[in-house]
Amino acid sequence: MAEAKELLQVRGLKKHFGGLKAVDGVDLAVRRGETLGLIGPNGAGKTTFFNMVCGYYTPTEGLILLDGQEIQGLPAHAVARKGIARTFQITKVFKDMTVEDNLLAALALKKAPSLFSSLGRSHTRRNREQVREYLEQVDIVAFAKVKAGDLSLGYMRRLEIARALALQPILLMLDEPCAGLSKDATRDFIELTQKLQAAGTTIMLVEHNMAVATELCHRMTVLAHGIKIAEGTPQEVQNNRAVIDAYLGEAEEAD
Amino acid sequence: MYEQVIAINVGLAMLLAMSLNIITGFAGQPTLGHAAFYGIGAYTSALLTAKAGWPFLLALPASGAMAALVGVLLGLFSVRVREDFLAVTTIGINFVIVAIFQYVQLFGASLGLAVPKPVVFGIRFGNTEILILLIVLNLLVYLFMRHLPNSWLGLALGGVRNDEEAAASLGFNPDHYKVFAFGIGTFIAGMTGSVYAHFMGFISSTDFSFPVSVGVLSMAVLGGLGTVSGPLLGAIILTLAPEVFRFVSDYRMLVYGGLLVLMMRFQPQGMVGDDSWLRQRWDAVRTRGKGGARRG
Repeated sequence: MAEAKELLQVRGLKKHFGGLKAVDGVDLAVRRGETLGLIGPNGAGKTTFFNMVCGYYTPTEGLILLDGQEIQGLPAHAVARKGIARTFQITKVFKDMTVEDNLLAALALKKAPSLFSSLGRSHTRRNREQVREYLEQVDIVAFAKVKAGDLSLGYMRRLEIARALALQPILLMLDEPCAGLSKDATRDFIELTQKLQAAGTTIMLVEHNMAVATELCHRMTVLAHGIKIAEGTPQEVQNNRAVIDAYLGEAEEAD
Repeated sequence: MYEQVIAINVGLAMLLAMSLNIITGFAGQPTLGHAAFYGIGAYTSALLTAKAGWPFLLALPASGAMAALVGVLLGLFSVRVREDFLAVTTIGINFVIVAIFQYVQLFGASLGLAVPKPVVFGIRFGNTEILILLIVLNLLVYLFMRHLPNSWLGLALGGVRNDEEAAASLGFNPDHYKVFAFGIGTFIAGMTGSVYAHFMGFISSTDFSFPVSVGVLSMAVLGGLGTVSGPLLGAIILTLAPEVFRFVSDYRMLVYGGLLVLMMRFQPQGMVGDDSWLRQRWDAVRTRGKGGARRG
C-alpha cells in the first residue's frame, strides 16, 4: 500500500476558552514534502491551532492525525516523540547552556529515550560531531561553545531550528520564525528553509509576513476569527476576496 | 579528637550541599526544606537499628530510600506548583516533619532518640570509621556529580531548568525529570542523615530544623548552584567559619541570610560559577602563566 499523501490531517479542530472560540472547526492537511503556510491576521487563531497540534493545548473537539495515527490531546513531550519538532515564536533556547549542549539535549530523543538510559554519557566525540553537522546546516558552528543566552535573536532562531532538526522530525513546525528579524536575517532564514525544502523536509509555517509566506509556501491555509476562510496556492490565496478583506480590516483597525 | 569531628561535620555538609545541588542547581527546583529529608534519614536509621535490630549497613540505604519516598511525593507535588510556591511549600514541609519528630512518641518526642554506635563486620564504628565512610560516600556522590553535566540526564535537567516547554518539545517529560531529581537528591540527604545519627549517638528534632535547611542552601549558593565543585567549597567554608570566627557561630542565621542576599545580588553564579569573580582571576593567572592571550 502506498503511503498516504497527507502526513498531517486535522479535522474539525476546535478550541474554546470559555465563550471565546479561538479555533472553531478547522480542517487542514499537510502533504509529504510540502511547506504549508498557516496565515491570518492577528488573533486569527494561528498560534492556538499550532499549539494544539504540538500538544501544548488540548483541543475542545476534533481530530489530529499524524501518519494516520490520532495524536490530539497527547502532551507535548509525547507529540515530540511521535516526530513533530517545533520552534517558538518567542525563542526558548536553553539560555545558560552552551549552543553545543542545546543541540546535544535534542539528540537524547533518539539516543537515550528512557529515564534510565539518560544516565549514560552524552558528550562523546561521535555525538559532538553529529551536533556539528546540525550547527553547520544553520551556519552557527563558530558559536558552539557560546552560552545560548548570549546569542543575538537571529542566531537564537537558527539554534532553535538546528535543535528541531536534530530531533530528526517527520514534520517541522515553525512558529513565526521571522518575527523581530532584520531584513538580512529574514533573507538568511528564507535561504535556509529553501535548503531544507530541497532536502524533502515537510514543514508547517505559521507566518504573519505575507511576503515571506508567499515565497516559501507551496500551499496556504488562511484563518480569521478561528475559522478557515481560504486555502490554495499563494497566488490563489492572495487574490481571494475574503483574505483581502481580512487583512484590510486588520490594517484599518491598526490605523 | 577535635579535628576529626570537624572533618566529619565538613563531610556531612558536603554531602548535603551536593544533594541539594541536584534538585536546586541542576533541576532548578528551589528547596528550602532539605533538612527534613536529612532528618527522615536520621530517624529512620535510628529506629531501624535501635528498635528493629537492623544492621547499620542495611539501615543506611533504607534511610536513603525512606527519605527518597517522601522526596518523590514532594516531587510529584512540585510538578503542580510554580517555583515560588514550591519554595514556600518546602519550608512548610520542614516545619511539619520537625513537628512530627517532636510530638510523636515513636520518634522519642521532645526527648529525642538514642542511636547505637554501628558495628560492621565486628568493627565498632568510632569517629575514624565514620570519617572513612563519609570519605567513601563523598567520593561516590562527587563522581556522580562530575558525570552529571556530561550525561543525558544532566542535559535533560538543564532543559527543564531553563524552559519546561522547550524541554517538552525535545521529548523530555519535565515532570519525570523533576521527580527523578527530587528522588536522587533526597536519597543522598537521607543517607547522610543516617550517618549523622550514628555519629552523634543521639538525635532530636531541632537537629533538622529550618535553619539547617537555610545553611545547606547557603553553602550551595555560596559555592555555585549547578556547578560541580561549588557546593563542596561552600560546605567547607561555612562549616569551618563558625569554628574560626566566634561571631559567625553567634549570628549564624544573620550570616546565612546576609550571604544569600549578597550572593544573589552580586555573584548569583556562586564562587566558582561561569564568569564569577574568582573564576576570572583564576583564568587571568593561568593564561598569564602560559603567556597566551585571554580568550574573549
